[in-house]
Amino acid sequence: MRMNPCNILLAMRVDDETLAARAKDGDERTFEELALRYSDRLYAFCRARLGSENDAKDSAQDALVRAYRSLPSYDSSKPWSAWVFSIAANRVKSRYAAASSAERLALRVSAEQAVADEASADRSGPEAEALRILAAEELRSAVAGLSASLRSPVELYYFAGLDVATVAAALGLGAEAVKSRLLRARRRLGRILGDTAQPDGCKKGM
Amino acid sequence: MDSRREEIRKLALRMLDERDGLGVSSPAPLGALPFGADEAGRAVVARAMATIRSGNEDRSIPRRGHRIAWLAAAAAALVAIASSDLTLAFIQRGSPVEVRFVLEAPEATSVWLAADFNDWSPSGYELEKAPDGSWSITVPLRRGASYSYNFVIDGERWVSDPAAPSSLDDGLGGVSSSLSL
Amino acid sequence: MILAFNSGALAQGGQGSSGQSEQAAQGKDQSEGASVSGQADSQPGRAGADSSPRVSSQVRSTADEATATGVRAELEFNRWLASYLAGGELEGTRSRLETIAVVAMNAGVPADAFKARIREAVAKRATPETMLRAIEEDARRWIWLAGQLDGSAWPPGDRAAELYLSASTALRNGVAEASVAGLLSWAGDTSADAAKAGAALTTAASLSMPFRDAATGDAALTLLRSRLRVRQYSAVVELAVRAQSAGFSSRRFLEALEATLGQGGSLRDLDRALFG
Repeated sequence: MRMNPCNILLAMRVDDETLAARAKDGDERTFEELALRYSDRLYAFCRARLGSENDAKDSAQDALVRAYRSLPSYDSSKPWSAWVFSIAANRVKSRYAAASSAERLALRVSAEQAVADEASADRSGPEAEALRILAAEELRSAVAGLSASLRSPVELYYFAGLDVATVAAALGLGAEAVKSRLLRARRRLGRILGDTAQPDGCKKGM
Repeated sequence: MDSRREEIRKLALRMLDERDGLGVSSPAPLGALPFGADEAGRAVVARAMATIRSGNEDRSIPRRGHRIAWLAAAAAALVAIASSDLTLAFIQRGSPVEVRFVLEAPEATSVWLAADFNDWSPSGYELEKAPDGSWSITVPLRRGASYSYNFVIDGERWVSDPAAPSSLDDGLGGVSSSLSL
Repeated sequence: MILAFNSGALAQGGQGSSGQSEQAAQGKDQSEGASVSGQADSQPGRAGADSSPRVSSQVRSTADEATATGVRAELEFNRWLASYLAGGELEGTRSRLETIAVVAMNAGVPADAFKARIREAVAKRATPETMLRAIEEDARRWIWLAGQLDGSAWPPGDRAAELYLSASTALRNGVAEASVAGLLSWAGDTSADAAKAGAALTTAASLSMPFRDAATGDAALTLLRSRLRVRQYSAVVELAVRAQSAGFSSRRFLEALEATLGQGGSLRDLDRALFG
């Protein structure tokens, strides 16, 4: 890593909002640093909704570019992470909606098929890792069945891993409202994922 | 196969529990996230910064992989939605209803609305661009009916409305969006 | 259902008549008789020829009027078509379109339905092949529809084109003929709002999209009979998308639809029936 004056400050981590205020003046490098703090979470958040790595990368990149271009409207008294995730939520919503119903169905069927294939294959190797990947897909699938108002806090909290206060700020809700939605969602997901006896053939890669 | 499927689902639920276990006031570390291990963050930022630095002029980024990625994002942006709810905001003023059609297409030079209620002729139904790159038009429509419509971008790209819950085969090789008032 | 668009089909068109064309078909038969008596009438002083002159002249003028109306409608459509396509890329399709339209209009299909679809094809820059294929398919469906509506006073003339367009959209997008027929029958019996009936049809088509097996059952009629307003139809589609994501089959969704909306229930009842 090149030595530059910023490195000296690494020991004293500058908070997001301060960086954002500097970036507002057009300092691209500061914005880059800020972006790097959240880019993995942004990607994970987009990946959870879109189901494709490339789409997720595109959307996360999209969100960051938009965040940069909208910096003039960012209010630094609010958490920056909440702001950038609310932008990402809009990008992802539109990307999700941009797929027609037929495409959405195709995505879901192929995801289910992938899970079914994996489950029936005789796999050696890092079993735990493979299982985790499959479990993540199951989660994604199950969350897609939630209503929009429950889906958003779930994605921000479980997939992006944000704390409740940030989730609340991103969604413009109170913390208690977020907690209550998370609880309802968790119960519903428990039912969806716990209910292995599907009466109709849909889960069998129909 | 079923028991393995069950195992996967149980793991999925455990992943949720793990996150809960870390506490609501703390962000969860990347390793604990369902899709946190992909480590795509650096690449995402690199491409974002390349776009930001290239500014508004040149849309082609030298390396082929990057250009394709950018075009994919731009294509998504062209059909993205501005509002957090539906594309259509209903401003009720009695009957007929004023319906606002919105499309986010910051790179477009024109956006028209073509629908069965204007004989599919976009002239006179040009959307207005707002500073944030979203386009909109308000149209009075009679309640109690359904309508088919498309947006026409730059006079030639016919797209359906991503925010509409239904889009239907138009029999002419494309799809139209459907709106029920 | 296959119909050949040639002169032989004109007879078929007559059989499938309804509304205006029913009168026109009757008019054809009666006008022949009328012209005979007309000839008789025009010879003044001929005893017996005018036994009930007022009745026969009334019948004749109604029949003539109906025929004239039908012919006028065809002429008007042809004029419009010629003018609309003139100089454009689709001008070469004109004569084929006229042939298709005249058969369909004789069967009772409103001209405005054709105009709407032709305008749409032109606006969307369809190729001649695409446009002809689309219009032929539409016409087949419309002629079938006219047969379903045979003898019914429903829908009222000014709402007919809208209904025809909604129905062909629905049929094109997976709604079964039996389902459409059931809806039309009930709607005619109850003088339902035609625009609402059309919306129910297109919404039923949208309901089939999320599910792979694309069975819509009687969703259209269930919607139309429900207490939902048209503006709530989109919410039903959204519930279908969610249901599919949650792993429901279309059958299960339709059962829930029938059990809730079909029994006078609300959207919330449907939501609860599906997702608890």
